[in-house]
Amino acid sequence: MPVSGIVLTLTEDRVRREDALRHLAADGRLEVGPAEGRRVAVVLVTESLADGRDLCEALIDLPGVDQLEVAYVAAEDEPASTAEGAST
Amino acid sequence: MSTATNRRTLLKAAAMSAAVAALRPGLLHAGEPATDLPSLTWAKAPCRFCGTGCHVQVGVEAGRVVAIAGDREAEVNKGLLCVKGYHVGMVLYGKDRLTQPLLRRGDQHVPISWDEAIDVIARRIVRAPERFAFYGSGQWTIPEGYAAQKLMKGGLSNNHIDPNARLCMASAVTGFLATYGVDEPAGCYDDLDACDVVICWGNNPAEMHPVLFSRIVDRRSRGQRVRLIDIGTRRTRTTDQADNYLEMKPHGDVAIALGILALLRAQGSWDRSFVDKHCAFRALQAENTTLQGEAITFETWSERIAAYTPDVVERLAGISQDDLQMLAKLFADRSLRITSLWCMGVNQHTMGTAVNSLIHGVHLFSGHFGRPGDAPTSLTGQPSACGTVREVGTLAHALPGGRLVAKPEHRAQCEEAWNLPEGRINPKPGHHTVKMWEQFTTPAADGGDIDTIFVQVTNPGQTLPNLPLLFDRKQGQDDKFLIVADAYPTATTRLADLILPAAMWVEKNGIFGNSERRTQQWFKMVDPPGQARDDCWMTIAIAHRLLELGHPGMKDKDGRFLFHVEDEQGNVVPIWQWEHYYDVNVDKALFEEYRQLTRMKHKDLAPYEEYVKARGLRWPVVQQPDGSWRETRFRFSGFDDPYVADGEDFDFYHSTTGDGRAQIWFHEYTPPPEVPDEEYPFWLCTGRVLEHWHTGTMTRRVAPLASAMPTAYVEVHPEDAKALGLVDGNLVYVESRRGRVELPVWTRGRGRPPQGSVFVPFFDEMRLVNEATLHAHDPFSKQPDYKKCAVRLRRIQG
Repeated sequence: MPVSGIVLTLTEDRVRREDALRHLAADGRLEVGPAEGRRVAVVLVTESLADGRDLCEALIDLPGVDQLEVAYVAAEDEPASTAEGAST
Repeated sequence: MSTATNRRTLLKAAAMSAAVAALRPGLLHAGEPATDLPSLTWAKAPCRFCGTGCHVQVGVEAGRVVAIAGDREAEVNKGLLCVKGYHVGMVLYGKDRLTQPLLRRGDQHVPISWDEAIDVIARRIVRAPERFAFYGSGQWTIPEGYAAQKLMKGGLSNNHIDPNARLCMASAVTGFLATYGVDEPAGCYDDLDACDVVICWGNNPAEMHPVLFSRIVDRRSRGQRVRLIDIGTRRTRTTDQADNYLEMKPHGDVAIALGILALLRAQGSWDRSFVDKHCAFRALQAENTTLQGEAITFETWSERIAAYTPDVVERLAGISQDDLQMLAKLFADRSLRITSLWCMGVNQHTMGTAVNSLIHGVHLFSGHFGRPGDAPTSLTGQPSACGTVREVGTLAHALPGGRLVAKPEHRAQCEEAWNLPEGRINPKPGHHTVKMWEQFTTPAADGGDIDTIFVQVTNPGQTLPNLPLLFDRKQGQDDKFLIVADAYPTATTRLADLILPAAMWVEKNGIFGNSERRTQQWFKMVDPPGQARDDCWMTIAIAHRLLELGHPGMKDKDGRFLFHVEDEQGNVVPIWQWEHYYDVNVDKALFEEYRQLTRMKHKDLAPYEEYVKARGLRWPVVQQPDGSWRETRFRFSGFDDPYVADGEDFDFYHSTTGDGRAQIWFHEYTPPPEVPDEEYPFWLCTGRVLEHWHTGTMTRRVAPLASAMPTAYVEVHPEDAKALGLVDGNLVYVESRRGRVELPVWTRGRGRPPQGSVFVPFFDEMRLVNEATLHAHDPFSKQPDYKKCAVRLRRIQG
C-alpha cells in the first residue's frame, strides 16, 4: 500500500481551518502530524497511488485547505504502468 | 507484527519524518530519510524533470527503485517535491520500455544487435560526415552533451549539433549575452526568500516550477508580505495566488517593459547612481542588425523610449494605464526588493531576445539588481538546459565554456584542450534546430543538405513547431535516415529508421546543471532493462567505430582516440566496449576534462569529487586559501562574487563594451508575425500542465499522473464556446494555416483564457498541437514562437 507524506497549508480563517483539521482527523486514511503555523504534516496510506492521487485532489478541494505539497512517497507495491495509447 | 505491517509502520514513520522536516525549517538538515529498513539503500539524485533542480533521495531495494523522498539536505527544495517529482521513480518502469536496438526494414522495426546498430550509424556518417547532424537536449547530462560536442566539433569538424533547448531558452541566452556579455542569471533561488515583490512575466510557476513557487506561498503562510504580480495572457493557478493580475495581449510584454522604462525616465525615478556607474545604452543598428547592436547615448535612448507612453502601451499590450503606473511605481521604490521570473512565455517569442533584454533593462535602470531579492531571473524547463546546453555549449554556434566556433581564439583553445591539430574545428556555425530539421525534411534534390540525424533524449516529432513542415515530411524519403535513442516509443520513433534503447536517470551516472547555476552529480543506482545502454556510451562507441573505419578525426594529434581514458595504473580502458564502460567512471573523466574549459567566462567548476559530496554547487566555484571550494550566489555583486575586485559594489566583468558596464537596451515593438483574422479568429497559446513533463513520454507512463490528466484539451472562454455552440467535451478541430489537431473543449479548466484566445497543452502524443503552430522565430536566438498564432475552431459532428 502506498504511503505518502504531505504538507497542507490551511487557510487564514480560523473557523474554516479548524473545520478542515476536524475533517482530516476523522479520515482513517490520514494520520495528522505536527503543525507549524498554518502548515500541518499529514501521512496518507491508500490502496493504490491512484487512490492517493484522488485523496490529494479531495484534500486540495477541501474548504480550509489552501495548498498541498508532497514530501515523500513509497510506492513499492504499485504495479508498473504504461501510458494510455502510447505509440509503438 | 507481520513483516508487511512492520514495513508499513516504518514507511509511515519515514513519510511523517519527511513531511515534518519539510514543515519545520529547523529539521531541514536532519540527514537521511528516517527508515531503517535493512534492505533499502538511499542515495541522492537531482529530479529527472524540470530545471528547478530539486534533489530527491532514491530508495533502492533488490535492484529496483521503490521509494522517493524529498532531500532535506538540498537547498533547492528543502525536502519538498511536486507531484511529478514524487513519482519520478516510476518513470523507469513503464511496461513498454525499449530494450533492444530496432532497425526499420520495410514497415517493420526488427531487432538487431548493438554491434550492428553502431556499425549502421558509423557507416552512415562516414559516407557523408558533413550531411550528418546530432540533435540532443537539455536532458543530456553534462558528460553526454560534452561527448556529443567533442565528437561533432572536435572529431567530425561538423557543427550541425543543436539541442531542443533552442526551442526552450535560446532567447534567454541571447538576452543575457546582449545585456551582460555572458550567459545565465546573476542571482539565484535565494532571491525568492528575500524579495518583497515577485513579478511573473508570462510565467506560471505554480504549475511549472511548483517547488519554487511554494517558497513564496510558504513565506506568506509564515506571515511575511510578498506581493505577487502575474502578467499573463490567461488566468492560471499562479493568478489564483496573485495580488494583481495584469492580462496582456499576446506580445504585450515588449510594450509593458518599454512602458515601465519610459515612465521611470519621464518621472526621473530611475537609479541615477547605479546607471551612471554600471550601465551603458544600446540599440539595434538601422540595418544589418547584430546581437551586439550599437552604442547609443542616454539622450538618444531617452528620445526613443519616450514614445512608449501609457496610452500607447495600453493600446499595444492591453493593460490599463493605472496598472502600468503601478509597475513603474514599484520599480521606482528602492526600499523594495523585486524579483522578476520568466520562462517560455518570454522566450518562445519572435521578439524573445528583445523582451529578455528589456526586462533586464528594467531591473538595471531602476537599480533593482544584485541585492538579495532584486533579480531578473529566467527559469529553465529542462534539468540541464543550463549545465549541458548553455555551459557545455551544445549549440550549433558554440563551444564549451561560453566559446564560439566563429572566434579563432576560442577554436584554438578547444583544439589545444582536446590535443587536436590546428584548424580541426570548423569556423562556420552549424544549422540551428529549425534549419536542421527543415534541411532534413527537404529532399536532397531540392537542396536539403542533411540526410542523417541522430536524436538523443528528446522528442522532436512532438515538440518541433509546424510539424507538417519540419518533421512529417520525412515520411517516404528513403534517403533520409533518422536514428533515435530513447527509453520509450515516442512520436519521434514512429518515423525512426533505427531505434536505440537508452538507459535513463539513475540507471546511469550523471551530472545536471539547473536554473541557478547549480551543478549536481549522481551515481548509477539500478541497471537499465534489457539491452538499454547509456547515451554517452553510444556516442563513444560510434566514435570508436568511426576510428576503426579510418575516419581521421577520431584521433588527436598524437594518434590517440578522441575519448582516450586510462585507469589509475595508466592502462587504456576500452570504454567503447559496453562490458568495460563502467570499469572506470567515464563521467568523472569527461567532467575533469571539460571543467578545464570553464574558466574563461568565469563559470569555474570544482573537481568532480566536490559534487559527489554536495547537493550541487553554484558556479563560479572557486578554491579558497584553505583548499575548500566556495560557490557563488550573486554574480557581479561585490559582497559575494570573488571576481569583483575588493571595494567595488558591482562589476559586469564580461561587459560587451569592455568597461564593466551592463547594457540597457532599446527595442522597437514590432507586431507578431501572424495575428487572428476573419478566417482564423483566435489566438493559440501552447504550454505545459502540472501533471506532465514536456511531451509526457515519462509522466504519461505513471498511472496516477496519467489518470489525473489523461488527455490534452483546448481551453476556450465560455462566451466563445457559447457563440460557437460548443459545450465541455465537444470535439473540435483546432486548425491553423499549417495543420490541425482534434481536441475536446474545456471551458471551465484550471486555465482561463480571455475571449478570442485558446490554450492547448503539448504533452499528449495522441493530439499533437504542433501540427498547427508556427515556426517563425526570433532573428537572434532562432527560437520559435509557440505562444501565438492564429487558429479557428471547427466542431466535429457526431
